[in-house]
Amino acid sequence: MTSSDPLSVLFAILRRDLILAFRSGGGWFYALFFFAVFTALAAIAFGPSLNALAIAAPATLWLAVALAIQFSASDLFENDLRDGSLRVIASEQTGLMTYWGAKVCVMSLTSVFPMVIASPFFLTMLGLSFTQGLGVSLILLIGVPSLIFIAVLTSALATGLRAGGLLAMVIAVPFSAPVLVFAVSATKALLAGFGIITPESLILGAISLFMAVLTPAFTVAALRVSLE
Amino acid sequence: MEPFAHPISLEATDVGCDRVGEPVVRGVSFKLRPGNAIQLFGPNGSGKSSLLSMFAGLIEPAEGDLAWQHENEKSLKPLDGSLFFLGHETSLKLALTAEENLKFWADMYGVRKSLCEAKIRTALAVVGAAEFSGVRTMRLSAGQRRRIDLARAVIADRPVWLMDEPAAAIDTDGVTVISQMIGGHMKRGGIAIVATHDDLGPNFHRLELGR
Amino acid sequence: MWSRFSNPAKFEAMARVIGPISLGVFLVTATVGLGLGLFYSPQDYQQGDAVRMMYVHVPAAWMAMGAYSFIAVMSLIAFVWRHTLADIAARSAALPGAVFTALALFTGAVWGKPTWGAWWVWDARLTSMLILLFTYFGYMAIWQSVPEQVRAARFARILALVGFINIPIIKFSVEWWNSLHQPASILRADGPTIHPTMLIPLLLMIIAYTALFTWLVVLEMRTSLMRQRIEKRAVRAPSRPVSAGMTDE
Repeated sequence: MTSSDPLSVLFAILRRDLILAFRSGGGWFYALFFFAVFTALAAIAFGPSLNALAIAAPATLWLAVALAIQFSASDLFENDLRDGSLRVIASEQTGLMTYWGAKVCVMSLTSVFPMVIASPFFLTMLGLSFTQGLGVSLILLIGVPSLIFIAVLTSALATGLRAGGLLAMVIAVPFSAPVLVFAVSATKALLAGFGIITPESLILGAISLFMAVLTPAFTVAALRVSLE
Repeated sequence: MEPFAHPISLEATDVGCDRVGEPVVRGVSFKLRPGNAIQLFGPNGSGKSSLLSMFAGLIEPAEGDLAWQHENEKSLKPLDGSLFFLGHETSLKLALTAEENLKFWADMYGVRKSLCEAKIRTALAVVGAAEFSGVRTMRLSAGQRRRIDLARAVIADRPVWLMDEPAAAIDTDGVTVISQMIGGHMKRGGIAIVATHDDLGPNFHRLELGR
Repeated sequence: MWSRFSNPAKFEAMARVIGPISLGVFLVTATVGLGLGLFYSPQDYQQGDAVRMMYVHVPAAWMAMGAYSFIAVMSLIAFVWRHTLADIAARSAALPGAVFTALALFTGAVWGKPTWGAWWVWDARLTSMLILLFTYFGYMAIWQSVPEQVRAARFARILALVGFINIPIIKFSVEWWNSLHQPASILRADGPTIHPTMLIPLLLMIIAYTALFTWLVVLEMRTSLMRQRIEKRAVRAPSRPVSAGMTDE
């Protein structure tokens, strides 16, 4: 009898999904592209004054990131559910928790990581200095995990439903709001010269940890329901 | 192929299962010893897929008892690494080649890296799809995809096979391949539960569902 | 104790009693409470007559939270003991809960106009009430978009529970974000700080809203059960093995 340990299962899923992301029409690129377009649109909407933009920059950045993550998670499970892979994976003992972990890694690598890298450049377009931008991307690293966990959970709840992406968006709002509150205020605190470690950023980190503990079991439960 | 080192048997006592809250099957009893296989029959909606999902541990039995026996251990769920599940979808990624797809499943099933390549080659030869190895599955026909998916059974190398319509979209030659595969599996002491309408040979117990 | 609630027939019998009683309680307490509140309670020395908005606003805000807690508790019961009646109860509470939440927001805005000088102020409690309304919308959207009721119920349980755990975080974050509302003044360790002439109509109104909620939930549950019974008739019998005796001997 052969069975696989969770870690190699995780890597197998990760490898497969990365190949798929690169092969099927640049799936890894959409989130970054959305992020860029949103930032540009926001700048156009706010007007060209860099001073005005600098005030709006933290909120603009976090809104762009939150929406991009939510969008790129919307079809995270769709394909595996439709072609039956999810059912086969769920029948393995290593099962769905590992699958959840793999999907979180896929999301982080394909859609979130490029945004974190790109954010200092976009922030200079919003009137911040490049060093400030680097600091902000560190705060992104603290807050973005919670957004990923929320997006993965809501996507699992909406998998296989009509207008699933929109539904996921609607049910994600109450979860994203607290993250945005602390993420934006942590960013503002950083820009005001209080550094990266502030009460706001610590609470933001705590929310990320809390979501890491809270969401996996619920996500797996939701996936089981869609397999029933 | 040598027999399985750890043969498994399955006993069902008056089991039934529900599909999203509605009872679909009731009163199924059987005893599967190593080397036995069951062919599930029945009209559409008679609950063949639900039964298979239940045996795979994906849904709980609504009533009755399921007992997996592995040497002297008994358990309600299939044992770790004992189960091969073939759904009615093909569980292949269209953008990947046949080989890449099977490589993924080999990793999932815990096939050792050094054996992987040889095993995939054998598996593709068994299902008669050796020439598709480097072809992306989107270029293959439904029947050819089904063969690639069947190759997973050879790669998984597990004693319990659960198959949902393995012969869907497949030609007569393919049906022969399937019945030979299952025949070989039974000779090794494996068990199989197969939902299909095709005639897979005389060695099967037949379990017909109906109202 | 749960068997009484989980058995639809027993529930039906109970509902026939609880329904009319709660309707009666609602009518009496609402009449008396509104009468006292609007005509016989004193003006606020700062807010004047605008304070009377309290008698419709505070109970609505109370019920907005209460109804969601009810949904969460029912979801937990459904999750752990798999009672479908609990799912129905949770779903039946969603629309009344959302309406109470919307009412709390609306009356809050109307109250806010004379008090703060603006219809809408982004203060902590109004904002968390707004997010609570979105939580209700998400919960109802799940029920709406899954065609099979049993599957919808299972998704909804999950969402209701995570959503409930999330509520303290929302409260905390929104209070951090902004707070200029007056602190809660009914339940405090050192006793109520508002005068009995205002407290009595307020408590009556809370009872009235709770009774109204109970009546609405029971009504909706009975309708759902009736619909379920009608649909049950269309469900086919489960299939069984045609050839019995599947053993290898």
